Amino acid sequence: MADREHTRNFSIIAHIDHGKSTLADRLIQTCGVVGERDFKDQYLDNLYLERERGITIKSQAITLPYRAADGQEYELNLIDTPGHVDFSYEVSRALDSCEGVLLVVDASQGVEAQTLANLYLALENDLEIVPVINKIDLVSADVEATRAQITDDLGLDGDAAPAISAKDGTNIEAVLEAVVNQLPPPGGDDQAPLKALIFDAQYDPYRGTVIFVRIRDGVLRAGQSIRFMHGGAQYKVEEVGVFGAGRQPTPALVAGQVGYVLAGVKRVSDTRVGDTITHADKPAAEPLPGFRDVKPVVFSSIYPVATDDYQELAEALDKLSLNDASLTYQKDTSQALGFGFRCGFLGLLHLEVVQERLEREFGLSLILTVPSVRYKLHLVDGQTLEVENPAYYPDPASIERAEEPFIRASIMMPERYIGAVMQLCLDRRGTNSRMTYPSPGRVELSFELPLAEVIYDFYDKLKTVTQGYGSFDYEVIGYRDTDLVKLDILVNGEKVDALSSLVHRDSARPRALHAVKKLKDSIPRQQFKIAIQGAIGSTIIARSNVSAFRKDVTAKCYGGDVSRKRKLLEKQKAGKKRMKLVGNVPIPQKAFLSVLQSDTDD
Amino acid sequence: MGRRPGPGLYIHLPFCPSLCPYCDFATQKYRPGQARELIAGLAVHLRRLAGALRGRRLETIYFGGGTPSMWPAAALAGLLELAVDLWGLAPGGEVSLEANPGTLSRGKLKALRAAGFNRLSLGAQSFDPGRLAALGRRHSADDTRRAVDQARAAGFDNLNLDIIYGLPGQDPAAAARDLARALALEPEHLSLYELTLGPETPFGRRYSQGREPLPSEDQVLAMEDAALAALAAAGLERYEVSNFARPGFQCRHNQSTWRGGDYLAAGPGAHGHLDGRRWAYLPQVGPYLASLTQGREPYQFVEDLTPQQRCLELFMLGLRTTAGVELAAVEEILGRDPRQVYAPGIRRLQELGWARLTATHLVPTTLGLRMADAASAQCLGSHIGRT
Repeated sequence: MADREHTRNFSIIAHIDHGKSTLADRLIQTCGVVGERDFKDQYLDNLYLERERGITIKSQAITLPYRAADGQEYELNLIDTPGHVDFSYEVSRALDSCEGVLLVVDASQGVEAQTLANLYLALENDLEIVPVINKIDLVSADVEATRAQITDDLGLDGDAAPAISAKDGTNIEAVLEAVVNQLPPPGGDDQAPLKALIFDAQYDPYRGTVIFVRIRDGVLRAGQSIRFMHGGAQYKVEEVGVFGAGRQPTPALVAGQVGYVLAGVKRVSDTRVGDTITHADKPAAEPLPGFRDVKPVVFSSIYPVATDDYQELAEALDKLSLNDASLTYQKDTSQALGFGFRCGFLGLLHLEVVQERLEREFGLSLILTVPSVRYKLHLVDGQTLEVENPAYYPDPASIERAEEPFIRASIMMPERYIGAVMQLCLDRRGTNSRMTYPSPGRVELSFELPLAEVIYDFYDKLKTVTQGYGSFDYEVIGYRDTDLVKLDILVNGEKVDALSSLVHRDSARPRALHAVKKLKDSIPRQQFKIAIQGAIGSTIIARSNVSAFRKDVTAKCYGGDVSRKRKLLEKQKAGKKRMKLVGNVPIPQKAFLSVLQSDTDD
Repeated sequence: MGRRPGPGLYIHLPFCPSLCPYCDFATQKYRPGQARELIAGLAVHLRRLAGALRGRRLETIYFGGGTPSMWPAAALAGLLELAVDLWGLAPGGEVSLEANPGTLSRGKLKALRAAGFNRLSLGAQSFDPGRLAALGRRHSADDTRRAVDQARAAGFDNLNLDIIYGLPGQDPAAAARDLARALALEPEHLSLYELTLGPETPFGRRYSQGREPLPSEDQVLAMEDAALAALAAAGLERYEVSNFARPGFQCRHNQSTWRGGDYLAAGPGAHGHLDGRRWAYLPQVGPYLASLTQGREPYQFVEDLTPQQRCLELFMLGLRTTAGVELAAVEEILGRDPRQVYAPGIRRLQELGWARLTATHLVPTTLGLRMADAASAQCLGSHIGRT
């Protein structure tokens, strides 16, 4: 085990797609931790969804042995962080475990919104920052301009930044040397009472929860009794160790080290990221700073398409939550969709990740309701109610006023898109805009926006209006007064409860029109006319019809057509199983999904 | 009835002089060398199938395509002769040939009639020069008229004309004129098809149902109503969704298909049915021939139907015919009374006014024929509910 002088704890931060995971892979390969044969690209992103989308949603850690140019052996602990705004708290805790970061900037795209957001996060944590210019292999790479941007926009030394191609493995040694020479060794006192920061936790079906820690002070050994200072629970340590190609048990973890703890903790949700582990018998005086209780901000109900899959969904959510402490869920019912779960997420990406895992890993076919935020309702009788489920929206007459969560959004883009983005933000009830020009030709636009407007289809729209060049980051800033209504969707006079949503009064009609149109396009015609309406209370604000079909027959059906036609009928039967009956109208799953889809393609 | 109708033989001749932009059939452009190989291959295939009918004589033979009439009369006559040699043909057996008006001549028609073909199905499609061109047809309205005259002269007394309606830019008046021109030729049989947009065809990519330049649903329904009246007035009785005939001139080959009958098949892309087994041959000429050469049946797929699937087919097909679904045939396969097994579906069809129950049949109404696809789906649903 290396002493503190020869240890470095660092993380890599970058705007999405700037090559964070590829650089991590190259560092791992260069240090020879994983044999070439076992190496999968993006080694750290071991959830396949993460691999597929190049998005890290959990922190990972690996110890890299490195013999530096000075001839000495170092132990470099690389902590890979989630790369998305939904997980910014997790990122901040992972960064808190480090002394420094590599800030990766794409040589062809330059500084983006998340580059800045990540930089600020690193600065908040007092980290040493080493800028790295990546993707110099691209034809469109402009290394000198990127150096200038790093110097001018970020206030870092752009000239000293290693220029590399993580993809081709060019100049990786320079990065490792920078880690050794520019990042400080960890501090800490082995003799002080134990303070270990939990920066993530993962579920291992054989060993229970694997807790990722950074030891600030003291020593942690197997056999010791520990306590979570915020959570309060006490456990006995079964094993401690560091991360190599897998988990490698060690006798102890000492101040400055990054490693893992096994202590018979059943569920990941029994640990909380940011909590401090200390000894039960000789506790630290106070926990490490920065702990926050992370609460979900986006809510949606999840229903199985086939009602009898409810039990499977329940088990799947249970298994998922073993490893995902930020996912909350509780039983929910819908007249149209039957039994399901109301789930809370850290953001829209988190929602998508959970949905995809449920569908792919557990083979479930799902319907999700329109995502909602949590509203605060102040009632006439003085009570305050928190509502994120339209089903529990009280009689509007009993509500004095409503509040909704706001965010401050930061959007970076080339100057030419400013008009379109400004308009988009204003359309989404944005206020208090600020504009800065971090470098010529680039604008950072800051807006205060209702979170509800952002979780609807803001990302898609932003991508469209900036042709993919806009980047986005946000933080929640608190609650503000709003004019809230409940929008209902009716099919042949029957309310489809799963399609109800809480929206700002000004958005109600556009939303209703959108929903009505999408339903009209995706509900198959029947032998009778189907009326589709959007309503606030008893006031109809949008309507459309699916006309009855009056002819439904294939013109030709001869000897060569029989098999195909019969199979079509059989497929239709299978499709019927995937439909939900509202009154006498079968509504296909895709109709529910289409209502959720943005109409950017219109 | 105790025995399945048939058996028939379907021979698929895939080549066409050119490909029409609306056509969804297994067809390809004519290549003389490959055509010669195919004729030889078909003869091999027919001989190999000789034992398949266990001594039953053919009731019907149908040459479809493609454009079978573009093949030399001698080649067609040779295949027919071989088939009759192998299986025999029942007295009064129906021998049909699909033909394109542009590929016939007086001499060829005489030769075909002499060879034993007794029913000619002409792909007239339209009599409007603009629409014929839009459909990619190479023949003219006059070619069709000439072909009819020559066929009559050659002794064909069972003629069908294929007509398509619901064409781009066509209004009900134009559709009615087209049909009137066809009826003026006094065919014994007429197949009237609403244009079908195959998703993989140029038409399918170019147009969408009910949208300009295709007629609206209202217009299509008006065309259909007018056509039904005109056909009835001309003495052509409807016996299937798209098929009309003078009494006694219904196409027996197709009728057998719709009643679950047996038919052997030969040729690329041809489908066959024997006693609950359905199969299709490879659609491309090359692989089809290669497979035959290697001594294998050139199957694309073979499926053995469950009794439920066979019954579903009887409903699906029977609900397209004015005769309806023969309940005894369903009962024979199922071993149970279909009036009970399919009770909810049958009741629903009656409620909707799509079908009525007679002592022996479930018979679709005119409205039911117009909704035949939805109607068969009703039977499927109720059937599944019971098992």
